[in-house]
Amino acid sequence: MAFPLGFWDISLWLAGTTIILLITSEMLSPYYGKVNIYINKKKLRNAALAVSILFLATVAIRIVNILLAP
Amino acid sequence: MKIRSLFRIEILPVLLLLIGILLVALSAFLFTLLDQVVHGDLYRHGLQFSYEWAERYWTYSKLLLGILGAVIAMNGAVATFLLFGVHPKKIYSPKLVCWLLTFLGGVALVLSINYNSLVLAFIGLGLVFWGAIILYIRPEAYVKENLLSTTALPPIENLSQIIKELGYEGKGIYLPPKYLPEFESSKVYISTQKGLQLPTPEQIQQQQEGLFLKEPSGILLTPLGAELTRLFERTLGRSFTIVNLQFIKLNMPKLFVEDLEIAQNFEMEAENSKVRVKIEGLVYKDIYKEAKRTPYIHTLDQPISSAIACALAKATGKPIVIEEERTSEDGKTIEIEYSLLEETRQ
Repeated sequence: MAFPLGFWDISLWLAGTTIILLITSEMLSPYYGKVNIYINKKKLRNAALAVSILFLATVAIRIVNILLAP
Repeated sequence: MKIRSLFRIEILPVLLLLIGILLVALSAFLFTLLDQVVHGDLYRHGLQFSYEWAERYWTYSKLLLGILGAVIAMNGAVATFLLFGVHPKKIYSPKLVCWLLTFLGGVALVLSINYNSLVLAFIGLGLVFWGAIILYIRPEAYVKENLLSTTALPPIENLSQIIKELGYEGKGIYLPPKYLPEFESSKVYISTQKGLQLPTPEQIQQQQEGLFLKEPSGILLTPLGAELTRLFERTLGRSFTIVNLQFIKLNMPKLFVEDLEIAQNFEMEAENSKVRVKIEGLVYKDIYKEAKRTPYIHTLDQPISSAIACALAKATGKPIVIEEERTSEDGKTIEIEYSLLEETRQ
């Protein structure tokens, strides 16, 4: 009865999600003329940045693990 | 007749749903009896245990019980909605989708722990995450673009016509804060004579109580874009009275295109005492197109031109006049030219 996903599985999932969110938030930019999409672009961008920071944090943890490994 | 009244008060559908729940629960109970036959009686008749058949049996039986549980939950939810009078149309659909995704994701996560399934864990994580994201980025209140012109045009036309018939023929002069007793307010002065006759701050402040000024003869109105200017200030988080023209020049494009999403492109150029603004894809374009056809509307300017004039008057501290407004044939591009008046001209 344990959660089946490990730390690296979640890191991989975060990477995929980050890419999707960042691309979506950029594609919905009003500069591309899509001003009629009914979502809050600012919040989407914030969410994308938050998830990307989480992913980078998992990468940093991995690097620290590799460096500190005997 | 009785059956019709039962349908009307929605008791019969609720009753049928509850019977459905009971039948599904009975099916689950009967399945557990069948399970006991397999684990009890069949062993006494020579059944030999093997993981080959047991694993498939366990998977199917768990899936069967899970689906029966989901049917009970869904029927229960529909029965509750009907009993408490929650009509599906009353539920705000994006919000419902968000909560449904989050709930299903939660169920998938619990099941993934129970069955130690990687696939279920990824599905659950994805559903919970996207449910939360959609809930977070839900739209604010939006209205259709054509509602703007249909509601804004008649008052503009009426007011313009009243001003013209009262004989105020001068150009609208947007007054800077030093002319006004309320520093954050915006006022436009229109004189009875053609041309630019600028009153002094003292003259304005002495006769603040009414709309009409006697000396010099004119009218003092709250501009059509005054409230829009306050919205600009609230969005930018700064009063225009404490910024300069450079701040307006730098921040207006972002304000129009990204923050308020009322235009697709915004350019501002300042040269000596002239400020030129070019706006593309403005949501108020229909008002500008209509104004082109109705000449008397020009006496009172358009909401966006007026709002920019108020912002310029506050930021530069100088009276502002809209010299020219040009709209392209398709109405997509609007060019506005403002003049910063020097008070020595009076």
